[in-house]
Amino acid sequence: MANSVDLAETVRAKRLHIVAALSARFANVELAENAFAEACVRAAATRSPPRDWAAWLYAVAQRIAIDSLRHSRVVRAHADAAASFDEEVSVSERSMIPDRRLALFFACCHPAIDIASRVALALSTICGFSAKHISRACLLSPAAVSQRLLRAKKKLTGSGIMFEIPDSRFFAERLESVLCTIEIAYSQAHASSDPDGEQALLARQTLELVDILATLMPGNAQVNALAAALWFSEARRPARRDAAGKMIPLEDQDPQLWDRPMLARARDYYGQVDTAQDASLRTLQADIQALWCSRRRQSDPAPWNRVLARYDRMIAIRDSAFIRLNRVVAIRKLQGAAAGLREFEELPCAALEGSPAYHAVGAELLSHTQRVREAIQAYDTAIGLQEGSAERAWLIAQRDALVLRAAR
Amino acid sequence: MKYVLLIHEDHANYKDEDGWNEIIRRHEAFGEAHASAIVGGEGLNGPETATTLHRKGEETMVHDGPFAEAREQLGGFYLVEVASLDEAMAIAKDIPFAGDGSVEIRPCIDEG
Repeated sequence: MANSVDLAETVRAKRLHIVAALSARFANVELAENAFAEACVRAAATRSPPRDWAAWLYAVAQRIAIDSLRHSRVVRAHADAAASFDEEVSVSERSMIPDRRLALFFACCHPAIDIASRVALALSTICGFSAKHISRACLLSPAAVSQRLLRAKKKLTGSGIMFEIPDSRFFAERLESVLCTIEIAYSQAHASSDPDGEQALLARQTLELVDILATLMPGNAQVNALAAALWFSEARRPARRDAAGKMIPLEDQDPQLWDRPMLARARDYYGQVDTAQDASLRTLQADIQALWCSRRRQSDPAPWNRVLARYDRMIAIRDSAFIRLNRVVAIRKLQGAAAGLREFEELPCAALEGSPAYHAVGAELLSHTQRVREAIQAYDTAIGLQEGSAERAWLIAQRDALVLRAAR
Repeated sequence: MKYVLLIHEDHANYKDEDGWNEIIRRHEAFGEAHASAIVGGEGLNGPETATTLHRKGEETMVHDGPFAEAREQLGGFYLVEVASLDEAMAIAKDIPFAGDGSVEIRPCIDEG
């Protein structure tokens, strides 16, 4: 009985390690995952449990992979290659499992793989979530996710994506692709404030992903900044909607409701980020999150001044319509609606038109500058674009209050 | 690994002679910069010179024109030998264009 517990624990704790080593060895994730799954089945049936389950699983999975390669058309023509595989198996059985986890991370998040597939691949191959799990979180059918995963794995195998940590020529661009994959997964998860729904599930999966990356790349400022920002953000989930299911804006949230252990985790990551030394969009974003999360209670003043300074620095690094939109909100809070509206009218409308936040910010500014009719229209546009139910409920409440005010 | 870099662009970009000479010069510079990786390559005459054979079962039909009618057409290719997709992508990024266009990066079947 003790052994089946050991086995289950090893499978859970060492899956990524073993699958990564197999993937790198055969340059094939699909083969690695299938061989690992088959090795687990054989492990459960074996009558003589080994002393080291991980080494056993790795060795057996390697043999399974080689056998399956032998049967495939490609390697039958290269019996020599298969023979050389064989010799190596017996050696590695006694040695350690090579740590290729980070290499696998980089491979799964390669920029040549479609971004949506990258998200699915990272969640499935790195975290080990099932296609069914991922499909619920990404609002796709399980069949669509499986299809996407299959295609992505074929691309990984056939296109010359290396299962290696990229060298200095490509490192920055490849790391950016890894971080973007995690960011996009999390932004999907964060779009809805639902505390228990599928999006919350995806959020937890994504946090696991960023934790793994942070363990594998200790001391990397970009990774720590991203991890901090995501954990800060997720810590606020319990305070993001009221009892009626309506969104509560960040400024009005009760900090007492924020998740303490998550905040502590975020601060751990944030403590390793030095924004003065390494000012980038990500470290500044982590800074802003940390500023908001430093509030203890609702009566503490909102940190708009310092937040605005961060947005200004971000725009100096890279001018982006969305950062400018956030900056408008800070200006409105600090200098009033008229000043906010002046800045708002300077925004690049084409880039923001599809964003409900853009119309919601505009609506609020218009409603406080005697342009109520336009404000109501802008709220309607925002409501039409908004997907999350809590966010939509909040927008509807804002609009209805305005309609009532206009009628009086 | 060997890759074919398939260059798709609008042939109309090369109508005037100065533009043509300029792009030839840039391709020469590109070829020199990546000489160690480039195994082969050609520029192609315009899609109006293309002949396509369509095969349906036992029957072969001749079509006067390229495989698919599109504004961007295959205009040339390079064959490169590099260690990874990253390197192939880096080379493809340097391919000169007169206007907009695209490069399809296709790995060749590995003969072992």
